[in-house]
Amino acid sequence: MHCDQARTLLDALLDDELDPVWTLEVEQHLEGCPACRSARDARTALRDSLRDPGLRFAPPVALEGRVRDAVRRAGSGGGWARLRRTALRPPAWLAAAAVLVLAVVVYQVLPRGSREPAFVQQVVSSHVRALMPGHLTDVASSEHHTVKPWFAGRLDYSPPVPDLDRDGFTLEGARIDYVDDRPVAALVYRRRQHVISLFAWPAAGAAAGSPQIYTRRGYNVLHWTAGPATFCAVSDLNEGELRAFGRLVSPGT
Amino acid sequence: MEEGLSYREIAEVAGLAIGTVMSRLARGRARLQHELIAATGRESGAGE
Repeated sequence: MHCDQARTLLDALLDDELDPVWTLEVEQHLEGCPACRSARDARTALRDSLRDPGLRFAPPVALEGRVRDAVRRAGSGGGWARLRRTALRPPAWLAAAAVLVLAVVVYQVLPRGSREPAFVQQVVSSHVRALMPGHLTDVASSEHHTVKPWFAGRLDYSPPVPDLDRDGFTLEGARIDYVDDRPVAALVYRRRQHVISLFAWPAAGAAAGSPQIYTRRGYNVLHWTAGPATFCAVSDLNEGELRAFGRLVSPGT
Repeated sequence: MEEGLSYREIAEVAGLAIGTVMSRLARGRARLQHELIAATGRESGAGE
């Protein structure tokens, strides 16, 4: 793949609009091309900048009233004003349509962040980073009695470390990761050749609900809250098995 | 409206080929990025 082609597909990649084959091709190109990586980073920075809530605003409630008043005043004059009011009616509708089209365009240009929580992208990135050689675990052990105490002194909470070996999910170890700028527990399980990162952090008042599944960059992300903890399981494992994993971690969800 | 449309949905609404949607969005964002860098003098865009 040439740089020109990669640059054209960069936005689609960041929008999650590329199919897996093209995604792979672009990512392979990025791995070997510092210039395109830098272009991607710049585009990501642009997206992050536009995500700033300070750049968004809702029109003041009084605006509608002022527009209506202005229209009424324009309509209270003589024949010319009435003529103008009548003549203006179709363009007003057109203007409304134009505003709608503009809204569609603006919302598309702004990042598609509202569909999924912001941490979904973060946990997928953490998982992908962890898959690089030597990054998977800070403590490598299949023994949950070893892994659980390892978190003491590293986190201000003690994450659950379920033993799921007999269900076909082997504990490989754990690491500390960052989600929403705070350290969180990341447990690593393996099922056949698939690695699962299970992130866990205090629920902080989040209500328990049915698990939500998201798909990002070819990875499934299962998110749920159970009791005092919020969980996020990330893997290239299929959705059915990932949901089964979630039910094993938190029975009853 | 809570969220944007997918490329396919934009293509349907605007009556364009999906490739046209993709290239126009890419061009629009490149231009926005260029303008922001020119305005702020920073590579990272509008603000940090």
